[in-house]
Amino acid sequence: MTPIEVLMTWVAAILTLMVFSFLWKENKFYRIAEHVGVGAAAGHGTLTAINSIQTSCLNPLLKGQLLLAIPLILGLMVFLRLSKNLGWASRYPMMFMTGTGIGVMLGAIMEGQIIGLLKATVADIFVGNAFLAVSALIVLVGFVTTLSYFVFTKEHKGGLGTSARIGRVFIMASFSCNWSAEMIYYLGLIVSAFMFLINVWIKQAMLGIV
Amino acid sequence: MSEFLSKLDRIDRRWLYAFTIILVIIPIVSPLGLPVKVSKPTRDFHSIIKDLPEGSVVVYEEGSISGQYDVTRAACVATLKLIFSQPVKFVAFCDSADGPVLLKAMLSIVNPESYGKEYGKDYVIFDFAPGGETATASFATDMRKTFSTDHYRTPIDEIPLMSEINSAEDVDLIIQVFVGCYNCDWVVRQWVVPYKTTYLGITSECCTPMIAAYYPASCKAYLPGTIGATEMEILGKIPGEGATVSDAKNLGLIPMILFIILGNIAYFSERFGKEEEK
Repeated sequence: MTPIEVLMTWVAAILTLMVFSFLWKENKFYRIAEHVGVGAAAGHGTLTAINSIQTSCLNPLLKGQLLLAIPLILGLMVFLRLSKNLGWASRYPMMFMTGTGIGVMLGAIMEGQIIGLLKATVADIFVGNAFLAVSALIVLVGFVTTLSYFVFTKEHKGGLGTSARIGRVFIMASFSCNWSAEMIYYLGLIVSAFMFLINVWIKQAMLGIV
Repeated sequence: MSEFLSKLDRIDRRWLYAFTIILVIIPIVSPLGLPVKVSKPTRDFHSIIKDLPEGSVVVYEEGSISGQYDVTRAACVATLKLIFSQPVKFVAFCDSADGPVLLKAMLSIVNPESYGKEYGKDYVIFDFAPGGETATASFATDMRKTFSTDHYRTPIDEIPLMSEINSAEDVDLIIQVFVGCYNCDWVVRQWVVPYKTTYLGITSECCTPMIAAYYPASCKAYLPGTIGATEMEILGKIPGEGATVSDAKNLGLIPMILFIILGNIAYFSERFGKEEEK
């Protein structure tokens, strides 16, 4: 490790420990680390955005691609939101961004996210494999009953009520699945932080073990 | 018994943290090598890359962010090692602001040159394209309109690798790394539906339920964070950090599961106790 790397490892390790101090209780060391993290991320994000504007817009614009002046002006108009008198003008670039975003997205939603998935599920029912067929059937029932839970134009009584209640069970199962995945994910972050502290900070920076 | 359970219900949460940290540290200091069963999505992921014909073009959409780099790094590194060991062309771009820095950090671990790959001829990296799904769509439609230069400011038309590549029609496989749970929708909508491009995903554990819904219809295979990384390392005999992380996670989950069970027992016993008193 070079002296700079050792120094950076020490800084990172101290900041990591400051963040972990929150587990004991809220304290100023944690808050300092939190502010450093937010500040660094904001600074890096701003620089990356400027770099992106320069390479994808300013440079080609200066080389003669004059049409790129339109998105540049629209981008600058977003900042008019800071003005009391001209704030209304910032709605135009927002309108373009929202319109483009929705337009790009909508085209493939039906095929990619609804029909495609439903087709694949239904197809599994007829593949001749009992396990896959039962699994696909459960997914299909879950799909239909969950959708029925979100029908709010009719009171949940009779057939619709039963379906919605079954749908609620599927929703709860889905939530628990998501929550357990979230828990494993956060545990992964803890593990990685300790791997850094033990393998990099203590072993490499402190003890010089490569 | 009820007194014990009631005490348990009010136990200081810091005990849980202490137990978890101790159990997490053990496998990091001394790896346990707990058995890992390779799942079907990971087997598919490995075989799809392994079976790519010579000269295939792989697009790698990097969407990692610094805060979640630790959970995707092992899977990405294992994947990049496998890709560079194949006779394929590699084109990377980033849909997150942190992407270029993180991608370069991972490429420095993988070292494509050690696999005989040459920058510009066998692989190329582009910077961050802002706009989320719009950027993903733009890169699929026209790479030259999305980026005029690569990461090192070389004009795209001067890069030999890019001479015959310009849109999703020239691409055989797209691998997306994403940590925003719904970002997998972008590739499905902009690459899979219009171009029928084969799609593989790498994500964190918490976003796995989102991509699992697309498997195997739209997403042909996926790696769920460090769990997927461990499985990839086993399948490809690629040494990496995934195995240690998985051991630590397995042990770290024990106190959590234990406390969830005991907490529920305590809660219900207190609740039923009160009902009986009434």
